[in-house]
Amino acid sequence: MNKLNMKINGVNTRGLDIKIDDKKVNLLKNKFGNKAVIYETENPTVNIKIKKYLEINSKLWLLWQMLFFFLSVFGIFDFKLDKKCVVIDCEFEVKLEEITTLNISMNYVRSLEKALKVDSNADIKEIKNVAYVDEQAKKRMKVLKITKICTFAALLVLAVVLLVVLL
Amino acid sequence: MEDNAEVQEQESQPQEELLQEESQPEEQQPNKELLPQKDNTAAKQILSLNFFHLSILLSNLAIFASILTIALAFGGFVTIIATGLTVVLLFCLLFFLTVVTVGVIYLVSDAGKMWGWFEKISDSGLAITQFIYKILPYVSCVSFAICVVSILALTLLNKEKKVGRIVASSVFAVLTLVIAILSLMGVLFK
Repeated sequence: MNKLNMKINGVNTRGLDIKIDDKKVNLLKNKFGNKAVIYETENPTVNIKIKKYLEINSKLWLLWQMLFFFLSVFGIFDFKLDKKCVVIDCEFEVKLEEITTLNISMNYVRSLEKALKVDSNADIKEIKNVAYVDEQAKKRMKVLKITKICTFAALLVLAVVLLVVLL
Repeated sequence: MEDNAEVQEQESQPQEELLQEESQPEEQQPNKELLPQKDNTAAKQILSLNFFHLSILLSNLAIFASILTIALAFGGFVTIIATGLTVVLLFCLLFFLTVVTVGVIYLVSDAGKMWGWFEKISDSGLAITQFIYKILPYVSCVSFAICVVSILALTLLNKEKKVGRIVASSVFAVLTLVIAILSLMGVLFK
């Protein structure tokens, strides 16, 4: 049985989809605060696919985001969306040792040429390792920002008018 | 010879066309099957991301609402205690002034002032308490409902279990439920 210890450092794992041999794996926090996964298999090689999706690319995105805006009391209890709108798409083939360690860290902050930096004691074949800025998502972010500001202003005006009328 | 060659070309052309026609659907079919699958995977992932966002947001809201409820419940107690303490202190001060200060007229006028302050403080304290007493049942019920919804969202909508948040929401749900029952029964502030 081959064992793969995979660690991911310095990454916002929200929206990150990791598949090993086409099986989705869930990352768990280890005692050092890193996200890690231990995968055991009989196969000599494993295929790892890492993709990052953006929430803003969902269907009915504006409705979802406005629902979050109202539920979070005008964004007070909300967490911020990824403003950079970087999408990553990576695929590796790892030849497993008896115990293989795989440290993955994000590289796309420095350059978009390589999304992930991978350190390992095993042989790694890089099939795909790209990061790119999703222009559509960026446009949507701008639209969302403007919509939020307009909604907040409209509600503020409405509240003032109601107060003036009632009092 | 040339005629034969032409005939051969004519015969071969339809065969090539046939081959192309046969091969095209075979190549296109797997692509047609693959593309929607990819889109579906992405759509499902993003949808689960939205649900994750929603559940975290609800738990944030639940924690805030619960803290507000608890603060209000304690605030009511604090107001009562503070009002009581102020009254006791004023009484002590008045008693001290009455006993120690010489001159009956001076004493009476001063005592009148003291009584005025005491009335103001006790009135405002009571007003705040009454207001809290009025709104607390609604606030506690709403925050309990938000807690329950957030627990359901965290457990049902989320593949990645957030145990800490579920435990926190459960504790807050119990606390808000206790406050809701007590305030609805009129036990608090009566």
